[in-house]
Amino acid sequence: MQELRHAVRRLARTPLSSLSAILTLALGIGATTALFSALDTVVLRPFPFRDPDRLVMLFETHAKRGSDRFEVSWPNYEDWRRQQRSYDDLAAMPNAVSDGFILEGRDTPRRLKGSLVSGNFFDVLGSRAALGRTFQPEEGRSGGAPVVVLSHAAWQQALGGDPGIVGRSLAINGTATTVVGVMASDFDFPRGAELWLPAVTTLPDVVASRQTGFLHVIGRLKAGVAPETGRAEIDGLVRQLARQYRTDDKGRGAATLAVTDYLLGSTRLALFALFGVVGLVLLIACGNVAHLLLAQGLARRRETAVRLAIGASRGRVVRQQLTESLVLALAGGGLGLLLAAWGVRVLAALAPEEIPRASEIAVNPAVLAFSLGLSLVTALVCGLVPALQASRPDVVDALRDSSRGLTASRASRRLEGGLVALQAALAVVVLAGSGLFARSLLALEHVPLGFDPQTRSFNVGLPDWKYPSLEAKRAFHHALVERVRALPGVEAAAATFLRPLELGGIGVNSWIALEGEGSEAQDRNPSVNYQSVTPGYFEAMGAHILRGRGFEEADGASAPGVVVVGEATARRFWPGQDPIGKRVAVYGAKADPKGGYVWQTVVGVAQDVRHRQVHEAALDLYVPSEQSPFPAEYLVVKSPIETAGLAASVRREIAALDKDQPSDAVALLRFVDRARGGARFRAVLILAFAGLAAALAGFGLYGVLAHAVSRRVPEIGVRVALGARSRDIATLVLVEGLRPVALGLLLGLGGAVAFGRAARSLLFGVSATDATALALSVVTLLFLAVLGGLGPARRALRVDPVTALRE
Amino acid sequence: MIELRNVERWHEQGGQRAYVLRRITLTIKEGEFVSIMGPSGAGKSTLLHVLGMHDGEFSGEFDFLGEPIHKLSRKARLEVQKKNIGFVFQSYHLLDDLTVYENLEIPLSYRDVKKSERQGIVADVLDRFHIVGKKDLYPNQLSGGQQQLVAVARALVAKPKLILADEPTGNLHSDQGREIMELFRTLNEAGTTIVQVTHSETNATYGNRIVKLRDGWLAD
Repeated sequence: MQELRHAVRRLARTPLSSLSAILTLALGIGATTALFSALDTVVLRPFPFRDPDRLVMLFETHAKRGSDRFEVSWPNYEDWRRQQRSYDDLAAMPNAVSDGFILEGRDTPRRLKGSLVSGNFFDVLGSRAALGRTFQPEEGRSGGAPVVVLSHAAWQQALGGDPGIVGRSLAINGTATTVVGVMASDFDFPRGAELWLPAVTTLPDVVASRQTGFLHVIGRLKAGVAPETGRAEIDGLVRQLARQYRTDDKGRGAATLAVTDYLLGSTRLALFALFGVVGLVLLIACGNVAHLLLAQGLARRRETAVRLAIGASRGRVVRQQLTESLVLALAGGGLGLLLAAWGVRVLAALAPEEIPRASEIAVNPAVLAFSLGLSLVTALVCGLVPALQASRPDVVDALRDSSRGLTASRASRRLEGGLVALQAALAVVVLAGSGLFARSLLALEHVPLGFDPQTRSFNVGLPDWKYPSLEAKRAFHHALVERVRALPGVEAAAATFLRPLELGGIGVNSWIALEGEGSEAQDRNPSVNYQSVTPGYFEAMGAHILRGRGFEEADGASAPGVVVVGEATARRFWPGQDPIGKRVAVYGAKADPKGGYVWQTVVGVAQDVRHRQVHEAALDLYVPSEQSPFPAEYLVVKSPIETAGLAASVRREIAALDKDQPSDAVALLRFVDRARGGARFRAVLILAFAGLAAALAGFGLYGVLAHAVSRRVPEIGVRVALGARSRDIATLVLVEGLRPVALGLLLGLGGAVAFGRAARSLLFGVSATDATALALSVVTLLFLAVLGGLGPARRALRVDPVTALRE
Repeated sequence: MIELRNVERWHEQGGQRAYVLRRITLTIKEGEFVSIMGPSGAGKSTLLHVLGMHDGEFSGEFDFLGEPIHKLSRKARLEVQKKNIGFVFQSYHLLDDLTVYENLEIPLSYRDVKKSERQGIVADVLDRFHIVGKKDLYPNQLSGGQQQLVAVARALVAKPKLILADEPTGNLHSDQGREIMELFRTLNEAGTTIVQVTHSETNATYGNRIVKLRDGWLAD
């Protein structure tokens, strides 16, 4: 208590430096705490599954077709489930949530996002309903009564939080479906699902084939079974089924991914990388405070010597000093916590959709404990070295009355230099890291998307119960496109099965066979990104046809098969050749009576469109909707009319054809923004941290140089008296400051390269050792160093030799 | 109480030894009041710091109350110091951030004296030195003489057997200096051994023995 009282009093006597130390620490601790809140909520908090460590996602792999994550067909899933021994059970869900669930019987029909899951889905996850129950075994079998489990959000928003919802019947896609349960608010799997239906009772025939992989399989490993053992077993099953049902099993296998990694994707690495960066910022802040304490320790050398002379042990002196840094750190931590409380709101607002649970990021007891622990560690990091340094003054020298004021020992000057070098090194890492992420974002922003993001889109997926045949659906969409094209202000309109960038990497993978290749080629060629579109699609999307033509009305169901390929596809399959007129067969191609392919002719080459990922072009292949087994789900419209006005007109046309078809309007820009969201989030945060790091490092250097100048006033006086020119004095001061900075730059460049390599998978269009980012970080830091040195240099130039020597 | 035999102290300068103390052999008995005198640079303060055990970098033998200090580790040496020696400095060296009361209390706290005992001892000393009314003041609110009074009180508060004073009146005007020297005399009469370094012949008369140093050597 005595030490605490003395510490508070001492700090209060130098309010400016204490306040600057507290603010410095508050910024460092606040930023670190805010990032920890995000890390804790998003990554560290267990997902609402029983024993999540035993849950893995299972995929098929096919090395020759260039993917390590192929979706699994329903029959294959069922075979795996029956034959495997490593898992308690396997569940399955489609690779993406669908917005094709229309809830009727309320004021107006409403689209909900849902997932057709296996009946044991919730049991395998080990997740219970908050209200009612999940599926029973018979509900997952063919012929089971139609039942639905609702998400908490859907229950609240679409059904007004009706407390008696369990047992009620809802009209979903024209079927009376009994609500059996409502999940807890933290259950969000697959992401965005608002309802879950047992797949068997509602699975469309078109996807029930062994050739159609659309499932993500979830396995619960038996207790004690290693993930690799489970993977190896499924690997064997994949090969066995391939031998049984396909031409061969070469290159086929299985891959697993922990469910948490599946949910978090690159978020885990991104948040850990940002947490590392903010940790460096905190270390820079600690460096500033440590230097302040060192300088104060030097100024208090005589006081410390007196304490030692009147009986204080070294431990007591260290304790006293540490108490002061503890008070500073706790005050900084308290203020930092307030900053963090504000920061987490900013983080949650900035967080892209890809980050799960972002809206739940908040300061909670775990964060409070972290902040307190961090403050204590910070106190030690900032205070220990200065305290140890201060606790061993040369008592005899310090007490000698002839002792000349503030003379620093060589050891403490080395320590100061070391601190500057360390801060410079850390700042270079943060600055270079920010350069890499910023350049990644810039590169992403400049990637040619291949389509106009201002194109508006409307979901127009039709329910099977009302439009049971492909023909019925095609007729509706054909009529709708015609009507929309006729609207004033509409320049182009078409329909498509998938929208670009909406599903984050998910699309239809199709095998492809080229005329002239053997029948085994379809298993050897890389998959193509299959798009089913109506005529006018390229115009409506603003995608350019580079050669040949797009689709026409004449490319109907009974017309000869045609396809349009992307540039990358053309280069991959017909390098150096004109692909127009070449013939291919892809998914859904009918076999001719002799068992061969029915060929589809390439009629056009379109510019590459970033359908799946902004950072990676796929091998695009377009099939006319009329010739594809995939019906259109979305309308795309090119028009200068603003979205709300356009939506009203388009909805009127939809209602004219079917008054019960709900449709939401969206500009494709939203998907583009979402796809770039992760990179933008990382870049914005790291740039903010880099700004902070640069400011702190600049101030730190200023402090060190200012201190050095005040220490050297008599020496500078002598030099001036001996005829030193202003230039000589300024050089003396700046060189002293820049020497450790130069050492720090070298160390920092090494650290920056290591950081870039660790975060490589988060970078796009820029190498981990990008010379521009590294050079910019060096130039920025040197600029800051010179800026930080100018004030002290100016002060040194004003030293009056007469006064200085008298002192 | 103190036995020095052939004590030498030097600094390395340009690879050579520059001696500050040469072959000092000196005995100080309990209850003595010794004044160390000599010109500047004679080694007076160095000798005081060796006696005060801050400085362990000497050669020769140093016994204190029968304890061979030259054989002790730094830690053990400082323990002996803590138990037996109080210091008074020319520039007082009070702790600026502590009140008079706290300045007196802190040596006791360093000796792990319980808080309740500390209160009693400090109250006693404040009373003895007639500074009760100043107990809540900070050093910068006191005159030089008052500060040195507090410094002497602080040196005594832990009841040392020996007080070492380095030019205790060097920064005081003559009246204040006299008061302090009178105080030393009283303390010495009460049994405390005192060794002071002084330039002042007058101050030296308060003691009962003068030790003269010149160029590091004991002078006759």
